[in-house]
Amino acid sequence: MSNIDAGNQVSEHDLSLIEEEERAEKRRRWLLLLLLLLLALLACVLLLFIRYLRQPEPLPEMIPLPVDVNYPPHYLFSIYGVDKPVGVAYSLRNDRIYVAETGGKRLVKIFDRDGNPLGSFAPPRTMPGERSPVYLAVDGAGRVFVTDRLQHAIFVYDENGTFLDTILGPDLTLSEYVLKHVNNLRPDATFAYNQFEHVVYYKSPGEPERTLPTPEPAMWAPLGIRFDRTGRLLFTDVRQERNAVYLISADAFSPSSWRNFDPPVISFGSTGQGDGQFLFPNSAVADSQGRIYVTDGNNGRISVWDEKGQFLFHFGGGSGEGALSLPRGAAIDERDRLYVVDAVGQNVKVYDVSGPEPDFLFAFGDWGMGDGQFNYPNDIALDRYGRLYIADRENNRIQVWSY
Amino acid sequence: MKLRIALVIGLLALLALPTGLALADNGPHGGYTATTDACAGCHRAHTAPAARLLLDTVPNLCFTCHGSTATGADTNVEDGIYVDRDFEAEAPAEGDVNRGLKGGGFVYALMDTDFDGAATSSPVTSSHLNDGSTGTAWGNGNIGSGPGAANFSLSCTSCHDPHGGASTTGGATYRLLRPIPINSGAAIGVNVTDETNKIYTVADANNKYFGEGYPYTPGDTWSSMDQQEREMSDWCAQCHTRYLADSGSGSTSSGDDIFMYRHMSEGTPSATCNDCHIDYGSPPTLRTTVGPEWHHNVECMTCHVAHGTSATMTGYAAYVEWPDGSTTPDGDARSSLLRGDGRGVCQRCHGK
Repeated sequence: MSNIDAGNQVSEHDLSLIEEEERAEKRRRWLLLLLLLLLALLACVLLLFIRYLRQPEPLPEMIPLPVDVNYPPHYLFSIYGVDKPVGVAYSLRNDRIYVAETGGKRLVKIFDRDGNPLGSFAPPRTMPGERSPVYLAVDGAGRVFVTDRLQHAIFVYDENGTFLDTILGPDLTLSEYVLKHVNNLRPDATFAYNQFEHVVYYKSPGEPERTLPTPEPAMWAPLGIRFDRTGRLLFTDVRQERNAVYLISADAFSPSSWRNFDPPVISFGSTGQGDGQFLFPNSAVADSQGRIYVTDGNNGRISVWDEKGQFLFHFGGGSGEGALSLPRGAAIDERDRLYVVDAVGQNVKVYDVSGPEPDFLFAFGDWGMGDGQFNYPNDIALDRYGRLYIADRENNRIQVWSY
Repeated sequence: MKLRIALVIGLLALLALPTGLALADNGPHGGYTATTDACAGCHRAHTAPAARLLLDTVPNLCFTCHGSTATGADTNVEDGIYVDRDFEAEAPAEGDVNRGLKGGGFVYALMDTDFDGAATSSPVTSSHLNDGSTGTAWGNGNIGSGPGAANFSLSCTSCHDPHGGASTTGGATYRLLRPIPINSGAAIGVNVTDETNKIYTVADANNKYFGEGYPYTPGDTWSSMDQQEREMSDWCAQCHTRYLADSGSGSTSSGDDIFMYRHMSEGTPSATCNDCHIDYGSPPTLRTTVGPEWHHNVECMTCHVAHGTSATMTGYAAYVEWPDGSTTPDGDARSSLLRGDGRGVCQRCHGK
């Protein structure tokens, strides 16, 4: 009986030793894992530090994630070398900034994120007094769409500014028009259009340039232009008879459809001051739920529509906090914060539109010529790093702000 | 029945359209109510950064809507273009866009300065504005008071009242013109009669202004414009006082040292020619109808535009001294808001 008891005592001791060893092993593993995590973290910090040394930028810009803050951004720097800029767009494809200037030669200018100039372009066969680029939009392929108030058209360029085509109306492109009138046109033929000369130019390589009379001008006056997250084109039309917003589906802009351009179009709105009416709508943007926000310029308000083009409500009119004077360009970020440039208010007003009712968050900027001050701002573009680019017209610059 | 209702609705819609489009003294320029929010569009009561409680200086404020981008209006005064079609003037001519403004432009002007029947957009060579610089208001002041008021500066609001209802009786005026331009020194205001249908453009290829009679076009109704043209000359003379001259002033001394003999700027030429001839050109063209309604008035706007011209001056025309005898600046700056290259405006009537 006593031998048996002694054997049991040894066995219990061994067991406790084994358990102790197992716990120690677990601790070692945890410590190793922690060490590895610390090393990884250290490597990340080191990488960020090296990145910062190469290109000093605020942390939110170095980590391309939505910034979950509701405080105003701060002024970073300005891009000069532009003459009375009114439109600005950002290309997610190549991190370029496109600026429409309405002074000087009235060019569209290209810059990198740091404001270094990369080139410029304009509609072929036009003189400065015959063109007026206003707003721009860049699609997922990097193509740049530019509305021109004097040419009554939307010009389309590749990412480097090489002219591609012109949208002459909701159902007509320049290439389509030439093809309808010229037999056996080579695929590499080039086109140009000038509303003032009433002439369409076309030229095949190795052949002399020829002309056609321009088509009957379409009943439209395109102004504001944006692409939404699904690739649909939204543009505003300010012709007298009917101020309206148009939506064109994304597949209308595949290369094969340019020469047979008749996309399904949704349009809504009319001219006036009542519900569902506009006076010079300057911009239309869509949120994550598909709701469309239209800056109703001369009515001094934002008009809200559902994705099918049914009027919902408007806000931002009247007086008080968040009230708008002359809303022009607009943009919307990943968190459904709506940024509206108030040209006469000399600032940018920001609203949270993620809920059922818009909520005014803050405004930034005021009138002046110093850093962070505006002198008739007109448009805004956002990048993926939390930067904001604002066309500051009378200060002849693009202001860059950041969170 | 349905067809009849549709027709009635269609007619009502057609009638309603033009009334909504003539905005010169509406929109932000008038129609204020007791609870209007329009003031906040341009003014701040306690925090305005510019004089007159404005949010910025003129003309930047004006160009925000009326500039080359025309982002808030169809009247683009920088380029001198009405960018949409002029609904009242060109009613069924759908698609007629980009017509030259009657006043020309401040940066570019779309004008037919060589009278070849085609308007082209060219840089402005002289303008009535607008960059903060100062000049001389030639002929301002009474007889014998020298060349004119010096150090005169102009902005949009020197001549236009952005609030509308500008006349001395509170009514509308043509293009929101103030009865007394700011700093003109004039004592009595001139109300320029507003148009019922506001026609902003030079409506045809002849580059006509106010529908003036040269060259004669069958169907011109001239007499109805007479009053407004005379008012316009009177209005210009609020600043350019001694330029105002009636028929016969070219041969009768005014008594002024500088503006002694002056081309008629408010009146009708002698009836002996114009009663029968459409113009003085060769070959002379006779009227089919003879009567006083065909008289060709000669007013300021017969030869000049109000905002800016793209006319170019060469030869003798480029070297005419200013009224004070100075000769600079020279070259195209001598275009003096004229509507034609060189002295084409002389030839246009006199046809020598």
